[in-house]
Amino acid sequence: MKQGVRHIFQKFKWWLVLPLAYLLLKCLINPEPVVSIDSSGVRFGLFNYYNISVKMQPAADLSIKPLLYISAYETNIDGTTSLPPWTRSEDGKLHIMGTDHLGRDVFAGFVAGLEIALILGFAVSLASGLLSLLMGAAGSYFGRFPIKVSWVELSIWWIGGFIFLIITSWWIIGAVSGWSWLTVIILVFAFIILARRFFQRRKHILPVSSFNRRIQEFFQPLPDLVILLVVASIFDSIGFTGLIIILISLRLPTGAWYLQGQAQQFVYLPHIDQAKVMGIQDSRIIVRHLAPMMLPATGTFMSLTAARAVLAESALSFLGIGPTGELMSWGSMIRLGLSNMQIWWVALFPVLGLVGLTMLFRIKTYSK
Amino acid sequence: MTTGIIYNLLRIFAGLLKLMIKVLVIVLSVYFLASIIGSRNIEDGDTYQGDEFKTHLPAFYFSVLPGWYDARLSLYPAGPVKKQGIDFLKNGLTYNDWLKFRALVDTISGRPQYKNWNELKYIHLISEINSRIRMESKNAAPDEFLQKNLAEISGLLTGRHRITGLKYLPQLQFWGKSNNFHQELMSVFSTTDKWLQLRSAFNLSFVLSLLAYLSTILFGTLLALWYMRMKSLGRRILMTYLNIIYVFPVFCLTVIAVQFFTSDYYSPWLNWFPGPGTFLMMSSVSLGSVFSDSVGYFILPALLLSLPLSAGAAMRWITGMREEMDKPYVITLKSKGISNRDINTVHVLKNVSLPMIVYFGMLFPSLMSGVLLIENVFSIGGIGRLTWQSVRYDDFMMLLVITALVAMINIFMSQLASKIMKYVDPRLKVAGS
Repeated sequence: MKQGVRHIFQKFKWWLVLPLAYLLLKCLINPEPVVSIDSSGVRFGLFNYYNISVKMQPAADLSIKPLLYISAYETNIDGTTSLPPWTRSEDGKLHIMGTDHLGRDVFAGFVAGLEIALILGFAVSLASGLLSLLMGAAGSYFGRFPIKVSWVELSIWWIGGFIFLIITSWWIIGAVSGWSWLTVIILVFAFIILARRFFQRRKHILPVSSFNRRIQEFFQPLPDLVILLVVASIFDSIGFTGLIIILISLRLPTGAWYLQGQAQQFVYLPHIDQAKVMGIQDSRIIVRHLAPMMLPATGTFMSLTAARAVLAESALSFLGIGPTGELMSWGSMIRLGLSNMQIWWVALFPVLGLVGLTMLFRIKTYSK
Repeated sequence: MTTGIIYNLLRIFAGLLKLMIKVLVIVLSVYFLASIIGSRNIEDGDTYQGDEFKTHLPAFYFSVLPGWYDARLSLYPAGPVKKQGIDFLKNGLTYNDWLKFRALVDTISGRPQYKNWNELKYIHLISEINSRIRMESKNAAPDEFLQKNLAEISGLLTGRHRITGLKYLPQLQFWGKSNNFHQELMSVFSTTDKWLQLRSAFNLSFVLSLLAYLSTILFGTLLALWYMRMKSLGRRILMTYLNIIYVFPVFCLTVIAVQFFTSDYYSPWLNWFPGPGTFLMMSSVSLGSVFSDSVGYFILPALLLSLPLSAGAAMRWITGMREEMDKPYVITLKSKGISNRDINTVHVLKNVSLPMIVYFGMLFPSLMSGVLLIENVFSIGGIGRLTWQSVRYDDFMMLLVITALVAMINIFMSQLASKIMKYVDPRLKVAGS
């Protein structure tokens, strides 16, 4: 029988509590009043998206103010710059985590960074978890019950891929070296390899189950950070929403492959066979019978993904390539603290927050 | 006969070919995507910003360009300005003549000169800008606008320009050598500076990542053996420590370590290692000179890099070794009176090592991203620094080459791991491909 603090800690429903904690943070510290009623209408600061709003929003007469009514971006450069933690500025405000060299409150910045990390972690993990759950389930299901196609149909797929290879390789090798004969040789060999594989197949089936593995193999040798940098270079900068989309698509191949492997133990269960024999639709079997059994593995993957997403965002912001210009995030705060070592508190609290949040996700991973 | 020398050579050739195709497909598709989405210009001050920056071209297309055409012109979006340039070239004038003409027109008509903004784009030190703004605002009369919007302004200066639309889309040429992509690629390969830069960066990063890799293997294994020696309380403490260290991101560790252990003005206490910024970025570095002169600069970065990785490796070792301890041959060895140390180091470690070889082979991507971060902190001019620079200065071709290099190294490492696995456990040779 499990007992003790560790058990309670593991059984705690973080996924239920974190959104509530998020709303609580919104009440605690906000550049907008939580609710303000005006002649123009009612505004809810409680549900504003991440604290990108640089300026303080004025409070109407009828309004509920948050406990700390400050913005993370509000500067105060005369007198209150670089205050150490737990000191009062001249106007009597208490800065519990101090201020940075521009007089911005570090606690407000910390909360803004927490908000970004939470939104990013949950959005990325939810979306990539659900999508890779479906992809993995479909991959393993169609490995068990393959879709048979005619060789004509299959050869259209192969030829399409081959044309893509021809065009791109011809173009780039011609541009780099001018050695077109190299292209020809490589293409001939590639064609031989592909053709052999094509003719060796006894049954012509649509390669749904090997698709996940191929995509995973493609993304495996490149680190996430390098891919993010390439994308940042292509788009000139990554915004917050773009970062979410890229991180989702980076985690998808790994997740689909991993969950397909996990689904292998469930596909061969008898009730799946019976459902197939009874003539239930494939999509229904996948969604209603196969996917629910994969949910624990998906939870593990999702919490790992959340940790990874938060780390990737902070690494990008640390390098100064993420959405740093506008956003106050933990990575950019650590960067600031590293460049000004005299104000160590600017870096310390984001570091603690980052490690703490990652630990939290990791505990969620291994608590069953 | 499957043992002929020609057969073996062919097999090696086929393996290399497979590897080449894999790398090629990665590079090509990155390049392909990049060219579809849009690309960067390399020349400074030659960019148009604002309304003129919209382009009306569809996706990329293949074209054959006439002889009088200057490829630099294809960097401009289609529009009246480009038409003017084409007219210039058609009439026998050069590209530079057109540039001068355009500058003249700009100065006469009083249109804004964007050169200053381009310079601002390349100032990347946030503290420098902020201190500059502060200095200005203290010396000069207090400007209300500046004080109110200080964060916004500093964000504007440090952040890169947001693009509203795609800047320009490349014109591609199916054949021939005079298109702009060719020139860009050639700027990587044929210009001595860039080639030297890449080579010396590779040398520096090679030493750093080699040190980190070796210390990861060493510390990971030693920590696992230490864990196996200990009793339950010590095990719990060590496991907690490993869990905490494993989730520490590299740059967070760096912030703490630089505070305490470096010899710069940062730390008043323990001056054990040279701090960030002490390493001089050299124009060309050979591998020998790195080993002979500047290994000392890499010790702290390599240790920091290997800490989380070795914690992860140790946890893997521990999981495997604890599973192995339940097996009957360990009980037999114990009953024969063989010491625990010998059981751990000689028998158990050897049996667990097979999946660990795969793990160490797969370790390289995470090591690479760590290198990328830590080189920027310690200002070591390696591959990571070069990547950062090429992202900052829009040198997309350099980024592409680095990506290909990283992919190639990673694939090579995983192949090496599988070869070592076959050497360690010869049964895998028989089991099939």
